[in-house]
Amino acid sequence: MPAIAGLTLVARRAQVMYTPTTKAACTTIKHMLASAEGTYRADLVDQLTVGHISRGLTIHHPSIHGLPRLLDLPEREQRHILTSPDWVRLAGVRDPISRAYSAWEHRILLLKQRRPHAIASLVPDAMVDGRIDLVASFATFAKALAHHTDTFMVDHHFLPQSHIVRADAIDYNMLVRVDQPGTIPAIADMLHRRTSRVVTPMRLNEGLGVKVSRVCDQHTANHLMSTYAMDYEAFGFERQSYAAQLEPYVLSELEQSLLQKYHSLVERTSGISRAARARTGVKFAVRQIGRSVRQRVHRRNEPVDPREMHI
Amino acid sequence: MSGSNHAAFFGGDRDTQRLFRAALVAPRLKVLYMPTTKAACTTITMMVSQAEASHRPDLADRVMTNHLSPHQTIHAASVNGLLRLAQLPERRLHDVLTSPDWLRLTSIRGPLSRVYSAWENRLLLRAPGFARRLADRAPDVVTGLDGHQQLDLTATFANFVRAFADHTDDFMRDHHFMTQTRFIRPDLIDYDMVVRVDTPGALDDLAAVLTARSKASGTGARDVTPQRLNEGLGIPLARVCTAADADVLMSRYGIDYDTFGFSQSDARAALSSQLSPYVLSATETRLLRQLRGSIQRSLDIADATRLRRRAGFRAMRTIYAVVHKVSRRHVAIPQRFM
Repeated sequence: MPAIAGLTLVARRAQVMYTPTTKAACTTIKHMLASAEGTYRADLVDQLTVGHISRGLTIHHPSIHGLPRLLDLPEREQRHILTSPDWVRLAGVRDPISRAYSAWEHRILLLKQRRPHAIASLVPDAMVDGRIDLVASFATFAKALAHHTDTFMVDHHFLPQSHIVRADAIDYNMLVRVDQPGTIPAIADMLHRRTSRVVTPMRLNEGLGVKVSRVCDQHTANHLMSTYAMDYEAFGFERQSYAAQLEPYVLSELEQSLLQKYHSLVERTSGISRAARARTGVKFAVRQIGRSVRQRVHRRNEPVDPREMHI
Repeated sequence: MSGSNHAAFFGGDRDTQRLFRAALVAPRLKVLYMPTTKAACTTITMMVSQAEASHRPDLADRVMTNHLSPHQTIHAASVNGLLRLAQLPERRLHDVLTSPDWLRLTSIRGPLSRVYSAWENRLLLRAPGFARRLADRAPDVVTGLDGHQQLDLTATFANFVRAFADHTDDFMRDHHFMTQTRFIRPDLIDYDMVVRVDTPGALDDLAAVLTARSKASGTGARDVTPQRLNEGLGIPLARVCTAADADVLMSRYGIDYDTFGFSQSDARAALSSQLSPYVLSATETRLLRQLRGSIQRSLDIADATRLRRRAGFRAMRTIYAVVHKVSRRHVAIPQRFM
């Protein structure tokens, strides 16, 4: 229970309990839930110094969504939430292969600079004339995931959905396929009925719009279906067929250029975020005051850009 | 910075303060470098800093300015380790600005390709800077349905040209769009070396000059080589800019053509009177939007940190004032030190 309760969020006013499944519309659903509950702190989004790479992703920070964790509630209340018919126990799932592609695209392709070293060495980009071939790169990932499952599953984006949702332990009364048309609007309607608040689903944390069938051949799919066999069993996903072979999907020069700029920016944002979080507290303020005093004493006349801060 | 520095050398010209603050000084190399925006300033600043042996890449992560990549932090004083002209005592200014022992260096670039580069950086990518605020005057032209939208780059650039023509002064408040003549003021600073960065081999020649000066001055620096930093997206100008749009832009930069002898006819020669729309793919459009979103996020983090710093100081000042009162000692007024 603790492993689930740490992720599961509770909206008391809406009487909705939600276990967010990574890469299954969790950003969108969290945003809707927090908006319906009235706990969403849009005013704090641009003040957060944690290294989220877009404003949309800041919804995952507790100070932004404002929803308590199931784990943090009294045991009696937990039991009530987990058993009462008045509560909606919500989770979202998605076809394992499209989810795996989404996880790879987000965590490996886009967030290159943040790949843990153990994972980075297993998933080199497959390049053609200096541009990434998505088909070959995704195939490399699927094979590496199959052979080094434990290494990847330190990142919960690669965890099987059955391990996150734990439908065997929690009696969900709203377990939805987020990749089916109408599901997200249906969640929005449910929240509106329960809170009288109009909730608009926003397209958050979307991918690059690449169709999975364009980058995943049958061999790659077989690796992934084997790795996520427990999800097929737990949620009854259909094992789809894929092309036996695919032409390479090599990024255009502009796509490659944009991707490289994105990588540089992520690296820079990570650095700023780390440095920003070190600049808190009395110790930092005292050091800065000392610096100002030294400058004054030595009559230094540095036209330092006030935006440039350093210790 | 002493006001008498300005009066002595530039006669109180309106650009004096900006020139003093922008110009970089490498005292061991004896190089004064005026970094011209969108004319390889990132690459050249890096080369000067490396030749001076003052480059501190280890400090890049401590810099809270809104640079879009670790390379661009070279523009931060703590990273490049160079002085600003404004920091020099008056007695040295004359030497730096007139002595034949000093190399007064700057760079220039064809105005049309430069303004395209500025648009790409400030408006297409929404890089931090004054011009970001003008993005709604040159809106994107997008086709397709939500989730499958595609940006028409040709039409979007045409929007920019119209907006730029109508609001030239506003755009030129961002020095990426400012004329090079105004930015580097060759009438005030007697440059010994004006590098045409769009001429093949020019940066290599500059690297050789800086390497030679570095060896002569004994900075201990290794050979300097130009690196490709802060490059654009590689979109050919001829794909998005018609000859008519080029004429509009070139007319606004007429002074640069006159001052530096750039050829308008050469710039126009590669362009067409009509263009097929250059429409980005859905993936390219999404990547562009992801990039913009992440740029905004990095701005948020940097701004939030600066606000927090000011709040921290206000808190400390309050504490200091309370301690001062309680101790009943006469100490220096806190505001002078904070």
